[in-house]
Amino acid sequence: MAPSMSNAGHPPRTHGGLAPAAIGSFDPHLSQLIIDEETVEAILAVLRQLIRDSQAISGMVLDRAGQIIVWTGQGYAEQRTQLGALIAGTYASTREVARILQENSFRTLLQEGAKEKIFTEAVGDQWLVSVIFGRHTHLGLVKVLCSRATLDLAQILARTVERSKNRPRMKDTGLMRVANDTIDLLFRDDTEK
Amino acid sequence: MALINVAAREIHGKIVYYGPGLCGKTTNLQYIHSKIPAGAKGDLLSIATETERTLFFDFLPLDLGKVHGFTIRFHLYTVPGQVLYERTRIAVLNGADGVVFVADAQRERLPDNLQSLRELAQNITAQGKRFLDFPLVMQYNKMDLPNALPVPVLDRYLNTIRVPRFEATAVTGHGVFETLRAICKLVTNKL
Repeated sequence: MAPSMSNAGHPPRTHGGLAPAAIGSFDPHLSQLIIDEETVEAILAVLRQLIRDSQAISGMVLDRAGQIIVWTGQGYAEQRTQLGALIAGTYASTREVARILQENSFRTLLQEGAKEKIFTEAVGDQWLVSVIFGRHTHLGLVKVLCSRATLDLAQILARTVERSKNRPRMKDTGLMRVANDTIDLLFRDDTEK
Repeated sequence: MALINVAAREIHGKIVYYGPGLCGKTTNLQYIHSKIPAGAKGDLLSIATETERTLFFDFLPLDLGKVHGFTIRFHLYTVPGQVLYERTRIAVLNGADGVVFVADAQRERLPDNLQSLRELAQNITAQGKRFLDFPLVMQYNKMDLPNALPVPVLDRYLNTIRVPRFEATAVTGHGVFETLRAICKLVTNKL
């Protein structure tokens, strides 16, 4: 696949009632992001419409660290963890290329093969939306629909971040104790047992 | 930033193995991959050069299974250690919840370790996080080699902030799982 990147053709955006600075901005002090049912349902609705309208194969919303928040679609579900890591890695790499070219960022990334293509677009500073589609789907349509979807996704995720900030930390000592025991049990070498 | 998906009842944490070139980061992941039960791991993904040096990253997803109704997943990454890949290291480090610093214990590699550790501190700080509070575990690798520095010397130069540290010989697996358990617990306890 030959990747291509672009930040062209993106006019200044408005984000409904939210100030642009608040949309998907990265908060380094937020050590955990809680994705609740409301967020998943809202993202899934946007993603499903995007997949349906563009006749794409699969789509995902993921964070810049490569962790998939929501996945939907028919193809490649088994490989989604790897796909998430690779797409986030590739996007992060293009951001560094943008930095060298004194651009703020490349907002989109296209990986184009003979049969399948992947189009990825930044959602705020923290997330990505990625669509996998075949030869029967027009790239231009995917770009337009993705661009629209990112506006909705940015608002949904910005609200999620705000809710996460206001939630008490998930300090479940029982969960941590059992998690630590499981780590001891599972992450062992034969020679240690 | 750990991702807690309440809807799917999943917790995701990202752990990055950092250190100078040829210190044994990839070897750590390869050993972990070879020993973890099949149901608790995904494929080990390596983006390497023709000469098997890490070009971008290695990636290994681990699955703790259900804990108190939550599926806990750790995603292990390595960075490319060679000096010229600094910007790639920054990209891979993005969003990490914990770091294993793999130091090469050989005497002549001490300056490389120091440079890499300084760079790590700068990169964590550049992400807006306090390096001293960041979940970090240190591994002194290649302790089996005759030119390995003694632990007190490595401590004095590399572990001035006194994080948990482990002696290791990653090729044989010695110390690999001790290190993994320590960083996973630090990340979990930070939730």
